Amino acid sequence: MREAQGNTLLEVKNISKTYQSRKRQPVYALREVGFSLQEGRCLGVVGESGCGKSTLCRVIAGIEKPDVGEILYQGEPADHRKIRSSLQMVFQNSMDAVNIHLKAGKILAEPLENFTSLNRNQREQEVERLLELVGLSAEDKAKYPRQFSGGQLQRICIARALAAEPKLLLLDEPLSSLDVSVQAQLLNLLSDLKKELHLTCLLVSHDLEAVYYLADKLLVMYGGAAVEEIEDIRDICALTHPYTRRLLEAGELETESGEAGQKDEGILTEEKREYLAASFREGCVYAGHCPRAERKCFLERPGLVEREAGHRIACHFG
Amino acid sequence: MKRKFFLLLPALLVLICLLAPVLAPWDPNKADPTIKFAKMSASHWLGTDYLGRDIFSRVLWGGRRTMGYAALVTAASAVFGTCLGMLSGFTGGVFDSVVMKGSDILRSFPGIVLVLIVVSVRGVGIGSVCLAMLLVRWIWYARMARNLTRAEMGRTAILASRLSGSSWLKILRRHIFISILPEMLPVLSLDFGGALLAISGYSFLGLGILPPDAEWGMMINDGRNYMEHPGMMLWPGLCVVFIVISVNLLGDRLRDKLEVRRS
Repeated sequence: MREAQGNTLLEVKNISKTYQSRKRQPVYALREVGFSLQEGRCLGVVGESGCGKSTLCRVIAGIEKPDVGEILYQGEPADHRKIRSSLQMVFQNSMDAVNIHLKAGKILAEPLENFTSLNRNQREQEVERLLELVGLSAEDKAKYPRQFSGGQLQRICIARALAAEPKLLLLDEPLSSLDVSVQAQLLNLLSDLKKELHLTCLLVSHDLEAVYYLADKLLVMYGGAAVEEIEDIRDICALTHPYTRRLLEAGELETESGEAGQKDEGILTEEKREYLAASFREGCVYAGHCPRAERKCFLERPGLVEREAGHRIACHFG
Repeated sequence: MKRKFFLLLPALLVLICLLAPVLAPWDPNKADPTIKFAKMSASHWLGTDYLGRDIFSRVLWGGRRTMGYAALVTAASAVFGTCLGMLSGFTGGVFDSVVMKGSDILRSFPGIVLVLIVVSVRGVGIGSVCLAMLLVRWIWYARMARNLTRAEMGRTAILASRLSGSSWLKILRRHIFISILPEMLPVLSLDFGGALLAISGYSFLGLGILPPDAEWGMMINDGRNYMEHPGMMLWPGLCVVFIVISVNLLGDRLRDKLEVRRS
């Protein structure tokens, strides 16, 4: 049962993306990340903030172009202008993702205007249907974004993404700005919608629990690279990468890792920092923080290798 | 109530100026030297000027011109500047820097010099003054619209709209324009006051509206030679002050109101 069922909807082949920081230092947002996603399944992508998971989402959504690599959609290179409606995204901060000057009805009508040939009345009905689909009431279409709570607004964003009738839904940290009880409600909603509409999802999160609840397979990222991948999330305890172990033991990821990292660097000597930078270029992305790191880890990058069926890992120690 | 009153009164003045052709009791240009410098009376409500023309009628007709041209200049520069600024902020890159550098160069001309140049080329007249004002007035709108657009572009809502399949024109219209409008409106109102002062100022200097047509600034200039008859200066002057103060207050109020909405 571990083998993938269904057709492959999305295949990401070795995409890399490098930004230039202000100090002209390259920032490796994505390094040769690759995976495939079958129809109807949900891939969870976890990792701390800054590990490139949002960039991955944006690249797949076609907002940004990868430097290297290819995205195949239904077996063909993705032309985002053609598959725009079948590939939708839900963003992290719902308040920033909607135009606060437009009523909810108008927000939801936008994709309908662009992707469907419905007339005004039909659009109105469709908007009401969508609102009810995500657990809001039809009257809410006359409200402005400010009149909704964070959770309700995120529901509207989900409804907007669903309005295009997508096959693939990219969820970029959809829960992170919400409090815990609302997170649970939204997870339930997403899980219901996924079954009901046969959605294929890509859930990006730093919350391992949420991912475990919704996802079928898991990809762990660190420093822009995929460090471990399992086909069946029920095997989550079989994960062995040192970074993943740390995640599992901590229960949740440190969201403030960016700051923590900076503090770490503060006490590093110049020499050691250069050594670390070198390892970031050539060695294992996690070597700098790994308790098991040895000389080899700093000099040579481990590839993502299949250790057993449905379990791939990028670590010299397996 | 008191604040509403402050808006109602100028609105009333604008309205009666607009209706000048109907409301003005006399032909504003009809001179009658036999009754020059007449005092306020039932037939000439605000008296007459040095040619015996009815001041009340001239104030109404003059207001129509002064405010009309000010509104025209403001509207034209606002539309042009906002469109250009939004486009510039939206496209960025070379187009953006060309537009911004161009506006910097134009802005370095003092307005009065530009008016004198245009007047010397095209001759004296309100058309020249309006043209010269248009040349510099759009810049403020362009700069503001451009910066607001750039700030708006950083929001995820624009990305979401792109993912929703909207064309760039639709994004500009539906998202960016609506978002920057609340910040542009107060400026529009303040700028109208500025344009009105400029129009009457240039006419005061004899560069704008030509006699015998009435215009507030020009009427003040006429009155300057007859200080012993203050009515000639007083009424158009009061109107200018009143309208400018009102639009400034309106601008401030708009800003306060929209700021509250924003927070």
